[in-house]
Amino acid sequence: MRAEAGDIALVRRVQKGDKAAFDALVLKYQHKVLKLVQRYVRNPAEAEDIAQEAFIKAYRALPAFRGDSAFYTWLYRIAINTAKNALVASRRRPVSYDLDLQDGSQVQAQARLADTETPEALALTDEIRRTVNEAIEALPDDLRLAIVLRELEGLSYEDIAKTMECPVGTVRSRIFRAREAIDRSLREVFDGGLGRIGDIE
Amino acid sequence: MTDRIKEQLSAFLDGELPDTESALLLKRLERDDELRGALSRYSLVGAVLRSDGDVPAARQVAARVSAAIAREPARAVGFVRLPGHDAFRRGAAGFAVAAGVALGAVLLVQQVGSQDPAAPDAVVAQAELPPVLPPAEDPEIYVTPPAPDAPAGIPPAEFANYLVAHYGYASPLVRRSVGAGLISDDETALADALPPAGTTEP
Repeated sequence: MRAEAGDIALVRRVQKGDKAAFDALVLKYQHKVLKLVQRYVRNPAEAEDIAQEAFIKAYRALPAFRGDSAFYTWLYRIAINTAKNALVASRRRPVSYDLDLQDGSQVQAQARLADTETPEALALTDEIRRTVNEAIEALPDDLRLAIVLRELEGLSYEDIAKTMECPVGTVRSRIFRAREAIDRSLREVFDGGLGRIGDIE
Repeated sequence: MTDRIKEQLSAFLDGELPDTESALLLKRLERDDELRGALSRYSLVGAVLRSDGDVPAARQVAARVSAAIAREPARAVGFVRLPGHDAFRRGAAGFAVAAGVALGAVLLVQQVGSQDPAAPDAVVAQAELPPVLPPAEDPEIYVTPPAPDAPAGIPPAEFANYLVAHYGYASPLVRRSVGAGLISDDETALADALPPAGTTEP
């Protein structure tokens, strides 16, 4: 809930003309939107083009966004429509249509491979998933519990503090330290040849 | 980029960073590519954790969107009037008057305290306040100062008298809340300040 409130606060900033706030929303959701688009278009470069177009459409439509739904739900609908339109334009069949429009994060994956998906892209996504999971397992218990309660259970810092019986400031610190530890491993992956760190933005 | 800023970034991602700190962090994000990269990777970690399958790492999406948005005319985005906005504006006028009354009361309390430094009310009112630092022109980071642990203090009889005398200028809602606050904080002091039961107001 807190994260949604944070999104709404950023949306209000954008509606008042703060472009940096929209930049932050893009940085926050670009990976999820790209994943969603790649259910339709497997070519990574083409998928990035469509994701970019979806974000620009969202920016232009933001004055009409009233906050009746969560920002990411609204954004994902735009992304899905943009991907479908791109497919119609290119007269290609989509890989999957079984998308839950109420929650973009619930998208079910179907086909795994397509001839347009490059081996490099596949290797990178596999490596990212493996690295994140291994880094999570290697975390001390208190850090792992804090990040899991936040990312998987979606609890607020206050609720995590009650669960872990510690101050909210400690929760904030633990979640940050967990992210930093995982991020260090991720940067090694990107620096190691599968991708350059500067490419991941 | 310090750990303190990255910790702020982590809290910002979770919607747990106060507005004042968020505003400055957004300004920093505009010009700090390393910070933008960290925000993107922190988001990627969350997306991977919540996902059943693989999550592709977006490479150029944010940079290209940012460049495209920069070229958009300012009129592309306008302020949307939210439901209840008018009601808020109507209430704001009454609140502004009440805020003026409260400010006057605070100044009065400080004045009374300076006349008699040994007075316990003045000591409580000035205790436990965080140190006031000179404002920086363009601070790198902003940390919301913690709220003082000690209670705000007991209103003296002069404070209560002042509020009672100016009740007529405040909205009914503010009158109720201020009155309730006074009663809950110090019933004795307020009883001393109010006219005895049965008497009529001037």
